[in-house]
Amino acid sequence: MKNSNPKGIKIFRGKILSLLVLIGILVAVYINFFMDMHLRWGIRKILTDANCAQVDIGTVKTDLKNAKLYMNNLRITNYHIPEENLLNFDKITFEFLWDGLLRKKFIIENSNINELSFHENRKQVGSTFPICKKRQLKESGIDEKIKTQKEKIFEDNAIAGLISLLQGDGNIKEKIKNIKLDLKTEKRIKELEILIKEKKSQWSKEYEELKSFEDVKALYAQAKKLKISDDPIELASTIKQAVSIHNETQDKVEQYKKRISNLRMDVKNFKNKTADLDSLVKEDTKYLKKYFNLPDVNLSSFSQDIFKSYIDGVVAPYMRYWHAFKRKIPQMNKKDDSKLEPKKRASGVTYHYPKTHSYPSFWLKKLELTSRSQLVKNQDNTSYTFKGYLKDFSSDERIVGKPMNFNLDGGLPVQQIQGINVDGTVKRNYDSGEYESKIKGAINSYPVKLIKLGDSSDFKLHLRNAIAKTTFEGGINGAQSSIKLRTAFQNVDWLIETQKDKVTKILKSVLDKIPDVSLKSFFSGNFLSPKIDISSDFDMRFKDGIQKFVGEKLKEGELKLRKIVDEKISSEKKRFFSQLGSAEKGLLMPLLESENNLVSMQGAIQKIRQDFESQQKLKAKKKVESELNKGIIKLKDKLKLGF
Amino acid sequence: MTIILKEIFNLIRILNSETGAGQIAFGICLGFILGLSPWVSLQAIIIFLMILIFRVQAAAALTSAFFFSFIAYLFDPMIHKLGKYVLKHDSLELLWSKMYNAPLVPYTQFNNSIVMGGAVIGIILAPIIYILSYSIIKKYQDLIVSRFKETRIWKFIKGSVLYNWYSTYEKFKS
Repeated sequence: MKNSNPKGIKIFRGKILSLLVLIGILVAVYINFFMDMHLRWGIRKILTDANCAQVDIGTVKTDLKNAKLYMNNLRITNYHIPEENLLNFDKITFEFLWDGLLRKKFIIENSNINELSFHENRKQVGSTFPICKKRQLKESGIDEKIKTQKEKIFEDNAIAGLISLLQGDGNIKEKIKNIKLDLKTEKRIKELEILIKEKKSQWSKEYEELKSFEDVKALYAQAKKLKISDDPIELASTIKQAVSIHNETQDKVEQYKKRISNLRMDVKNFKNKTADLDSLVKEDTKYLKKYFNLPDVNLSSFSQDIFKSYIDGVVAPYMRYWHAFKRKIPQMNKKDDSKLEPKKRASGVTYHYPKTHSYPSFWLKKLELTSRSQLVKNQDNTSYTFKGYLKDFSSDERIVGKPMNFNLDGGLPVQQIQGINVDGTVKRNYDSGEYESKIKGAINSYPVKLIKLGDSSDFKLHLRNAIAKTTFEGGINGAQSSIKLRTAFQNVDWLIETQKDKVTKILKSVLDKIPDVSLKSFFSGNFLSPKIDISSDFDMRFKDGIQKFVGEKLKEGELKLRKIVDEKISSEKKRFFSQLGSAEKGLLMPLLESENNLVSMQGAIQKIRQDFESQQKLKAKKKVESELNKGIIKLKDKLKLGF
Repeated sequence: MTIILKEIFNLIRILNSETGAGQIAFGICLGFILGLSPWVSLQAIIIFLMILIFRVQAAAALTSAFFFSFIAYLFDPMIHKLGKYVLKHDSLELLWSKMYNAPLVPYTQFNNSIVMGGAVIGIILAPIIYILSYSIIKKYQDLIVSRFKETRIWKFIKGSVLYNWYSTYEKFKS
């Protein structure tokens, strides 16, 4: 290639113009013919990934001049029921602001969602993506908890135990014959029997050593051999021996006494070990109650048990969506970004410089939502049975000056849902970075179909049909929730099936007297796994109805079980206590005797010493007296006194 | 079809023309700045247009952009720190605020620390890159190109069909 840079060459390429024109034409062609198609593909992919199920979009159209985006026939498949659509949107319109777009700010002036409907059948079954769902579930962790709770509710359900009690679930005695019961009392008695054997031999050995006390006897014999002598020197030495014998005896006796006392204490302690047998019997009775499904029926917690899974299922999905929604809200200038380092090429940290009277990065000014049932046709065709709005959803409320608020109003005649009214606000606390939301609303009437309150091979308790009314109020502040929910079920159609007709009849008669139920629930704590407190008038009314049937059965059942436990362990218990008694008797009485002998021997030795000492004193006194007399006589003689 | 083919040949011509040392050096300089910028941004589009409109060596520009983007990847942490320092500087905040809310400027993504750091480094080092490239290319052209033209490989390329088409087109054009 020759050097094509001679002097006088122009700075600009003259022939580039045609290339630029061609590029311009290609871009225009792309925008006109292909951009909408690719946009539709992109939106569809994003929504499918978010839903983990097929999402269909009819058409996507863009109007660049007016910065508008139109979407028609958006259908979102229900992941759990692929034959139906979770949501249908007939028409969606977004109107952007060019002034904002030029500044890379997405300001949506107006937007509309028309003809929103729910749970409509699809023409073809939609595709679902289980791997995507697994990943989502792993991230949120909520659904697994609901699933576990739902399964658990049928195992630990108080009503399951109650029904089993009413059915008088089999002949308990017969059942016991064939199964090996793992009773703690039995185990304990066996342990004690082994222990008492060891103790008995220990005690006997100890007693053998204690009963003879040969050394004390030897000392006593030694003491008895001592004789009182007239010789004071001999007497003094004898007394010395007596004192030493006595002291030695005292020491030895103390030691023996200590050992005897220890032995007694050991026996007492062993006896005390048997004190826990009563509590073990109670535990075994409880265990058997559980085994045979005899309920510790606390009917006041009935509602908590049986309605919890329903309430969880009603509220938890919305909390899950709130959690997902919250993560997607654009986060502005996170508090501590000094530690952030770019991990991949061109990520870095993006800083924002908002100011008043400017645009935030994203601002949805108003989104209107309408849904018109096909059954309701008005002359003007402009009224809607269901409408709502979302206002001021933005990335920076400080610029907008208003928090996000939303409203839903109306009803869905096709689904027979009436009197929907929901109001709420969501605002961001820029100091803590948390979102605070408040919601208040009601649904005046909606059908409830099939709430499973208990479902197993032994029984079924379903709330088949009812008309419900719900009011709710509360909020989520950061991760903490505080929501009150009140639901009233009317015209309840119960389904009860058990293994015995008699029991079914009893329960049916009780439930027929409960045609309506009101439920109060309170959600508190972390909204991902909130604490749910449920109370209802169902408890008292069911209890009143079932009382006379259950009360006697419960008592009867408990007595039976107690009797079974007592019977099972009576022979072992008897044997053990007789062993204990004989051990005690064979030990304590002789021990007392030995102790008495020891004390009397000690007393005898003490007496010997005392005798010697008193003899010595006497002799000493006599000697002193005689010496004194001798002295007086000598003095008399010396002084030649007549008397 | 003829028009499209003509424009493709034009493009090849652009890529292989402007073989002056200054043009190649300027191309490398623009490629350097492009390599430090995000590929989808306003400044990237402007630099592409500059490469097309001005008589700079386009192939050199694109090759150096590719090369410098890898080099920039290695220095990302340092670039990020520089960008962060510049963006968070108090005295410049008013400027950034005006730019953030101005039309079109936000599409440069200047408020990203990596982009800002890359831009600062690009502006500071661009003249140095130009001078260095110019001197190296000059020496290269004087020593190596002339020797390469005497090699068998060049003679083989010159004798190929593709080169014949190209030279025929060049003759036809001129």
